[in-house]
Amino acid sequence: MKSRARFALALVSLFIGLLLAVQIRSTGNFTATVPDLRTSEMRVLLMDAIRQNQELQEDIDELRGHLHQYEGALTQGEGALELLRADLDKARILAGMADVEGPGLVVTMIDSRKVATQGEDPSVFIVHDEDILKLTNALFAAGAEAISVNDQRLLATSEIHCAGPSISINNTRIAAPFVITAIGDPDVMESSLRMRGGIMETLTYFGIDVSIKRLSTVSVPGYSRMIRFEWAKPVKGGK
Amino acid sequence: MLLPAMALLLGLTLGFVTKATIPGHLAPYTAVALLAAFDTLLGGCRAALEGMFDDKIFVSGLLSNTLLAALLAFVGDRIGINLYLAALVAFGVRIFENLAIIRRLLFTR
Repeated sequence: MKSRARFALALVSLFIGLLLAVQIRSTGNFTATVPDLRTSEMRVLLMDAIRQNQELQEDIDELRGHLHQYEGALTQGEGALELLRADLDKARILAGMADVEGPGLVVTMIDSRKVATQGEDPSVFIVHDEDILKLTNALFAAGAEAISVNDQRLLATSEIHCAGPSISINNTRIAAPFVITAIGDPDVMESSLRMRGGIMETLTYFGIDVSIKRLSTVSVPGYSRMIRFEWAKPVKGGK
Repeated sequence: MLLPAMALLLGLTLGFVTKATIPGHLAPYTAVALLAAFDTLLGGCRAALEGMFDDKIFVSGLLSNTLLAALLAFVGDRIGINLYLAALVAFGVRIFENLAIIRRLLFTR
């Protein structure tokens, strides 16, 4: 064997040995760590936690600001009333007592025009309370901030319930066509309705005529009657 | 044949001693490239024993084999076929072949 060949072979041997050892050590590390799937799962959890943390931090800042305002108002006496009024307005929106407007969707649902052939149940071709319930639920899930169905504002206590040929919402009977107005991010809400396997797919399958209109301003009326709490009483000293 | 073997051991110890690691997503490619390099090394040993060693052929073979093996693995990953299997089988078979020839050369010398 020529010395040149020996030298070249030795050099490459050295290199391969080095690489092999590094490879073995690296691979050993991987098997010791968490599997890929778990990693991505945990990454999502971590991102969630970080985001929540950030939001809570913002809440703290906001509440601190409120506290400062109240303290300042207390020393001046007069401004407190103004602050309370602003709070009341906010509470009204939250409770659904105030008329609100903003960008959103108008969804119209009309009973199917298909005539049920023999053996088909005609009731599947009409809009049911469940359909409206699912649709509004999907809208809330997509971040809708205010929803009304045929001008009935949905409150925390609103029912969407079958009442014979009509549907009862806020103890008011409404009938087709159903016009659902929702304020929120129009893109997010529309795509959540049109999602594959979502509510639109189910409804159009039964021939129910659903149309979605995006508008830059829609208005949702407030609940006009009194809300009475006959049974529920606030707990004294609660948080 | 003693010098390359010593160098291999030296390289192994060096690799275990140092702290260098290969990034996780590159490890499959370097593994295949390593196999190709090992095959070329055995091929070189065999050529040296046969007295036909040529350093140009050896170096070019080393580079092209390792690069092609890593490239096959990479492309395979991109198009969703385990193309690295091709390199794995080809070089695996050749390693055994070369080893058999080296064995024969050593004994019949």
